[in-house]
Amino acid sequence: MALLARQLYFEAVKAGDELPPLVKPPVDRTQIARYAGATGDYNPLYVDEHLAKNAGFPSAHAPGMLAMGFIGELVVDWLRGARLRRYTARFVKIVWPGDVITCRGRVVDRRFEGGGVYAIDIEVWAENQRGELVLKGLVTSQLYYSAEDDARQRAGQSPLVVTPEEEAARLAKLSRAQPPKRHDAHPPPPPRPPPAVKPAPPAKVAPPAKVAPLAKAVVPAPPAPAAALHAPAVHRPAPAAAPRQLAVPPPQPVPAAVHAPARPAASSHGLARTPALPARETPSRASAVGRPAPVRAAPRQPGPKAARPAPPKRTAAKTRSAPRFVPKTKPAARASRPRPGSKPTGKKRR
Amino acid sequence: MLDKSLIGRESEPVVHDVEKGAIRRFVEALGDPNPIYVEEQAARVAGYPALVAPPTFPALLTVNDRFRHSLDLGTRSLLHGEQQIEFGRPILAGDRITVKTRVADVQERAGASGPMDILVLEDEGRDAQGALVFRTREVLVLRRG
Repeated sequence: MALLARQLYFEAVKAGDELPPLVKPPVDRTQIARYAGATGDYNPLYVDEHLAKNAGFPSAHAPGMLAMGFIGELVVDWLRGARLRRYTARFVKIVWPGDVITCRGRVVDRRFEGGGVYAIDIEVWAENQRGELVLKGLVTSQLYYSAEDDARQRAGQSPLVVTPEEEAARLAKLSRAQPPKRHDAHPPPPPRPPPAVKPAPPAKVAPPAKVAPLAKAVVPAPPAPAAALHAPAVHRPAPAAAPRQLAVPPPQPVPAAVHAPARPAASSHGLARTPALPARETPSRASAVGRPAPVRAAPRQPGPKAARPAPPKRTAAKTRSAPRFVPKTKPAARASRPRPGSKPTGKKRR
Repeated sequence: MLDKSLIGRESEPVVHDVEKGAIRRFVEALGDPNPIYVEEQAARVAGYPALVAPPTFPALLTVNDRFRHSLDLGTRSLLHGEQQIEFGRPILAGDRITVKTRVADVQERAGASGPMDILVLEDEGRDAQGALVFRTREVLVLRRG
């Protein structure tokens, strides 16, 4: 509840920020039944195994809305009460009983809409334990610019109006001493050196003038991990702090362990993100627009988990094939099978 | 093949009272531990005047079996392809929401296993004052055979 009371403000969000992944417990048939009961949507494909099989499916499956609800949890937690405007989802693959769903999100746009209205777009997606994309969507949310804006509006006053130019000027002032030139053109460019960027935007959240010099002093050298630890701590001890360092593809691999301490126990997901980055170039995923690699989030297990999860490990959840109307299965997902090119069929899992 | 003339058909308005128990059962089914859905105090701290419902709660309010049956979709498998939700305001426990559903589109699309019918439904939920609470659009895929 303490956490809920703390708001997420527009000034602290950057395009490229990633949400800490949320790994849900395996979806089981009881959960599917409960969800059907809770919504009143008793589509027989969810609750009637025989009918589902007769219709050509390997078994009954979970409603797509269940995965959409999982992502809702991720987003609401991260936004901490900010207003949702719109949430869209495309159900790419069916979620089967036994599937372990990992929900992820990344801020893809940050807009000054004028008149004191500030909005962000979060690209969201969910993957199963085979690394297959099951859902892809977009969440649009409206945020207060800052604590000041929040307080004003709650007191019934007019919103705080900040223009992109004003913000840029403020940021520039804060990080003037940095050698490389800062984001003139685009606020969240990945290539810039992490130390210059990270401390700056958040620094203005806190007492502006005092913090800036500190941040500079701390990060004269390039070591990104160090910056990650210090910078967020200055203004924002909350869980969201550390992850933002990683939102930008780091120039060098960042050791997962470095980030662990900065994270409260509650957000177990943090570690998962780090291994995901190096794996991003995995060929089989190249088509997926900028999606981080599907590494199964392995909460609280530091260590080199960078490789794709080996599908055979998860024998508990039978490797189920996709229904036939789904165009193709990525070869990687079927690594355990001898014929990677073959089309999945419903027979396989029996 | 679905009849194109279904486009534009609209349901009777259905009135839903948003109950705390319904919100609780819904978030329990999702396994979402956020207290703002079940504890008044937490919801108030987060700035809501009452218990709030999670973003996908309209899933519950837009189920209208009677209307679906009236479309005569037969016994074909119905898959959920896409979902959009626009929020006018948060849904709160105690709200009385009137929901109307209409057929926004009917299409035929080529699928991997032959042609499929696409049915697009749109729902609109308004509160007792007539203000928009949510608007949804769902794309349903009907498989042949």
